[in-house]
Amino acid sequence: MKVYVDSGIVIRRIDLGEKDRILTIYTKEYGKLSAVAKGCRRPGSKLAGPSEPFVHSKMMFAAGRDLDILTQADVRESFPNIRRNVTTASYAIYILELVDKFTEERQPNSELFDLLLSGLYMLESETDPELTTRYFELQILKALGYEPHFEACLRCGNLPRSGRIAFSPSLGGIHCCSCSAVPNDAISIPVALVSYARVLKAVEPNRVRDLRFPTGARRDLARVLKWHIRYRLDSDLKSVNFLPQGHIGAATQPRSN
Amino acid sequence: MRFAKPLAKLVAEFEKLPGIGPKSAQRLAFHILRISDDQARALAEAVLDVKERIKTCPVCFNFTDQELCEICADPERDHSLLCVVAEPRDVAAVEKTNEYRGLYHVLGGVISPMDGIGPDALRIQELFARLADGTVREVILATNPTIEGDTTAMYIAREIRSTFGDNVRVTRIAHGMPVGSDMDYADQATLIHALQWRREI
Ligand SMILES: [Zn+2]
Ligand SMILES: [Zn+2]
Repeated sequence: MKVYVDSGIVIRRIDLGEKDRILTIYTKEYGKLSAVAKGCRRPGSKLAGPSEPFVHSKMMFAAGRDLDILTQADVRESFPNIRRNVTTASYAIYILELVDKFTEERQPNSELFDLLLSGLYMLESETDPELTTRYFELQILKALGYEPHFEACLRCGNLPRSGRIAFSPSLGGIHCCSCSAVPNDAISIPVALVSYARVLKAVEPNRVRDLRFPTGARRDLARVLKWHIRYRLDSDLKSVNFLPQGHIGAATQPRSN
Repeated sequence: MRFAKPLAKLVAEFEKLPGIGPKSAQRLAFHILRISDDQARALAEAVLDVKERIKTCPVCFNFTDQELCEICADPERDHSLLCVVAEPRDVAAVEKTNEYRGLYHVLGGVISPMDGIGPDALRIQELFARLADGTVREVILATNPTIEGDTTAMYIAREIRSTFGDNVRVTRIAHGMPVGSDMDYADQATLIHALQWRREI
């Protein structure tokens, strides 16, 4: 029986039978994979802790006929601060769902693993959870080649100095609103938002805690990224409605006016 | 192997039950074939009976065959103490310890952002309606020590504090159980310990 070891973070789990769970794990070397944690719902099981969402462990797997088996796990970080707070826990779960929805099984991407881990550490260290999540959204989109563009109008290359422009999910970035017909999925945003978005795209993870974003920029960026992600995934994320900002643009997609 | 139609149907029904795989389903079906007609009838009647007579208690939402469940109707129990659990089976787990003398409130699930289950899907409004008359002085949150159980407990604790302030004490069952395990499977010693050592949250 083939045995392998990897560093992994549980991103989802479903109950199997009376005592087991099937875990979806994002690992550093193998990417996303599923494995059975046998007996993890029994009290006293050594696998109980490592089978919880966003717990980071060193894991040992045995290749199975249908599903691989998680045979041993040694917890490296259980992120107790995230668990202690409903708001940070909701953001963390949303981040896990993003990783789950954006990835296929067994497509290694160690950069994404590191990104996920640093996102969780940012939440654990009480970095603003909303900004951490926006940062994570921008970085995961970048890592997977779906990066939204905020540099200049994607049609003409100009950027007005003030006033309002549009962000179009189908275009994948901003439109100046004057050079050509505005895409019909465009979201109206103030020009000022692009500088906030560019900062958050370029900053190092440990510097996010120093950023100060006004309420309006937070709201607009949340909305823009929500629709950009929705367009890429072609589906809704279940956990998005649990975020404090979850209601933004939830009902219908806003049109430019 | 192909089964005669009635047998295949019984096997298929057993397979739908939790924890029953194809092999066990066949074993159970063959067992039914061997038992007496009376035994088989008693089993079928018990199944129908439970569906017909068991309802949820309108106060605590535990299963009962009475108007009001035995626990809610018992004047000997401490009506100022309320233990909040996710499922009726958790009531059974706590009752087995013989340590707890208060009442219960069954939420009917836990908050699970990953499954899109929010507080509105649970009997939280009903819980607040019970707290409103001031009889309950302490709420013990006894959800499982999983991320969903913790989130549910934290959410309820926060809401109770903002609505009732210091009038209702909120405690969380102090889990001697490892993080992630189901309360349903907790052994009695662990649960008794946990009930005695609840802590304020
Ligand atoms: Zn343009
Ligand atoms: Zn009752």
